[in-house]
Amino acid sequence: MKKYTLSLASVVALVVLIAGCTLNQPEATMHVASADVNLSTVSLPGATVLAFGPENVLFVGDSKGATVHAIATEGIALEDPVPFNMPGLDRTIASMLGLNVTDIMINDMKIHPASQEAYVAVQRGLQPGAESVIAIVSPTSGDIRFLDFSETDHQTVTLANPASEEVMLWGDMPASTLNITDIDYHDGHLYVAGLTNGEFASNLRKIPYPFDGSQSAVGSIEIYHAVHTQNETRAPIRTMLFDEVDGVSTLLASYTCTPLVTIPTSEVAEGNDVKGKTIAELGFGNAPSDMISFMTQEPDGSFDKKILITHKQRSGSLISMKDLAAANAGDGLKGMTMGPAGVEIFPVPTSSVMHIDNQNQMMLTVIRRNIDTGGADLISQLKGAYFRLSDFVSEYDFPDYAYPEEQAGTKQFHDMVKPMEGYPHLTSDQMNR
Amino acid sequence: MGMLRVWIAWVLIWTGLMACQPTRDGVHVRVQGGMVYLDNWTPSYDVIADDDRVKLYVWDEEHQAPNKPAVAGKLVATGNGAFAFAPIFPLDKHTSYLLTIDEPPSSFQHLIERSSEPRVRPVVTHIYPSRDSLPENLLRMYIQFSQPMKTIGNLERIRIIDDEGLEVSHAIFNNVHELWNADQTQLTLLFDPARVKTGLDAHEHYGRALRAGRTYTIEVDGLEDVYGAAMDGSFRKSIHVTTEDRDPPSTDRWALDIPEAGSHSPFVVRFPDTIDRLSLLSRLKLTMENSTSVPGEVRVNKDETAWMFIPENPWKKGTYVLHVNARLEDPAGNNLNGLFDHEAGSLLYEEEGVRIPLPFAIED
Repeated sequence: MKKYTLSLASVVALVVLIAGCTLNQPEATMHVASADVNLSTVSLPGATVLAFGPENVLFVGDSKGATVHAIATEGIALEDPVPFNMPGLDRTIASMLGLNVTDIMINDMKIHPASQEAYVAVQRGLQPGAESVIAIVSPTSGDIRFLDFSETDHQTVTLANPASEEVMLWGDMPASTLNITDIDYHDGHLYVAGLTNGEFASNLRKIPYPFDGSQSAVGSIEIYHAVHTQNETRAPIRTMLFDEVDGVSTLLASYTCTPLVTIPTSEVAEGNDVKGKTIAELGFGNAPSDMISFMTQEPDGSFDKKILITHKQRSGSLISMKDLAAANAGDGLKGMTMGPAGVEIFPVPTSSVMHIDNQNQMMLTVIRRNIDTGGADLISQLKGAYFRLSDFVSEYDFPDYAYPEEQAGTKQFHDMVKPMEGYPHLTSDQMNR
Repeated sequence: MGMLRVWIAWVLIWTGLMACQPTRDGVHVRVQGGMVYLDNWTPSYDVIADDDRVKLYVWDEEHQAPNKPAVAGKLVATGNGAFAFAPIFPLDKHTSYLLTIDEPPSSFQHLIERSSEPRVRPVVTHIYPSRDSLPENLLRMYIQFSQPMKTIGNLERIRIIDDEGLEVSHAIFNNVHELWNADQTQLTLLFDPARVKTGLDAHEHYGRALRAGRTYTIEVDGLEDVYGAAMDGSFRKSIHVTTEDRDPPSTDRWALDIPEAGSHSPFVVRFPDTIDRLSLLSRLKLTMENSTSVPGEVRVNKDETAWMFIPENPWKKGTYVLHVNARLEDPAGNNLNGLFDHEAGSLLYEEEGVRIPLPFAIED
């Protein structure tokens, strides 16, 4: 009897065990959908500089491969100005890529013209064969995804061969590499500026887009370098921009140590030995990093077009297009100056900015180096302000501060900016002052 | 006795249930072929599309914490009820990772430690030009490393120190982009051309960085390879600086050692002075008279005063052409077209990079 009872217990236990095990089995094999992002659809051999072109095409210049990619992008138009507030963007991207922050390089950032998303060129790893990705950061959600090339139009053009007999003869020069310093699209053409390793020679190419297999090289660009008091042809353009100056399409180019030069776009053509006009010297001991243009509203309500050039060593140079056009109407700089000179320059506090672009009518997007944390922060700033209120602790920030009447304008500005910088709880309404 | 029976039955049932609970303690994490396999893991839940309960994080060794967000990737079934985490990007053997399985109320964590193989520290293997005696208008040097190096932030770690122990500042041109070769083993140092050239304001104000008659030390210290291994101690090379070199290279003064047909002897071009090494490797080319290339190997002698071509096949009788690109330079940047520091209009050819053919005959 006892034996029987035990056996019964065993059977019950076994049934429960089997039933339990069955219940605990995962259902078949369910996992992620098939159209997956994978390594081969998001990696490029290199991504050094970015530019957007017509119909939201993204140009990616690759120094290592001496190539430019043209990749179709899509983006739902974002009408509202939604700011970026992402400290430590470099660390976030590195973590997603499976690397420590010291093992990636952020090479460039541009804003998608429709979606206002930040497209960030990132090299994954530092070794010679390291590939790159384009990380796309949404201002609305803060989500980051990687640009997937598998289902988009993708054209590539190689820059290494200036299509001459010389190349056939010498072959490629393995000891020498091209550094693409900037790319820009203008009126049917992509312009690519760069320099080669080991040879102090500048390089400007003009490539029709859509790519048709042709490309041309501008003979040379001669500029007057006031700090050096000489005409120069070898120094490479560091950053450039096409814009209308007095109704004339013009290439604005800035060089290291730091001439600002204008060249009518019509003169930038194959074989032409172009003479640039040095209209300003932005200051010695400095390399410019980015150049953008935008409209701002002046205190009197009028609108003014501005050129903003950010620098590696100096404050940003903000120049009114009116002043630039006036300087351009003259003969250009002559003689010696250490700068700034040649045009009225309003210095703006952008010295830690690594990359800058227009985000919308109201805001600029910057990636800047945070000198306290060492991180690269992705943030938005107001045009006209060029700084973040939350970077500073000032008189206004103390809890017992009350805005007097004559500070009404400041109060209004603070109340607008604080929510934008991620501090909606610190506005005067919220603080009762 | 009834109580005993119930107890035994209970124990048996419980033990049985335990046996098929997810054996988290028994999970064996294995990295293979770009996947992180979770051997012996039986999920306690239904695995679904976009399942995010298994995560992989970069492990921050300094703060002993996972870096967030998680590594991009997904959980995949590998068959027979087994699972693996598939990161989009390959894991790096020099990085540690933390794998976590979130199965409330408990969770599983496993540290995937980075490779413990000792890192080989990078060293400077050579500085070109190789000579210890160089002109004060030196334009360019190349630093050769033993392995691929990080390509940013290095110019601050390379110093030029004079014979009184003082650092010479603003000697090297810093144009944001450092000038590395494609495999990241050779860095070009360009002496600021505005100081090298005469007549320029920077030259007038500051003079050349190097002064004739003095001795300088190039110190390379603390540079890191691509994985963060730093140089063990600094590398120093001393150079004695001579008066400026205003003597551009000229093919008229080159001597050719022409081998005999049928031999494997090198064809040698000897230069009276040092030639820039990059120029030697890229600005000279040997072909047959009809422009067909000659298979063989190029070598440069140890003080960059000779270019040697060793043919793959024995030399044949006939006319050969040594093509010289006029951009071929000496270490002061003087090329076959004239001085780096030339007067306007004084160059030999209007165009840079003109090709100069030097034909020669190989005979029996």
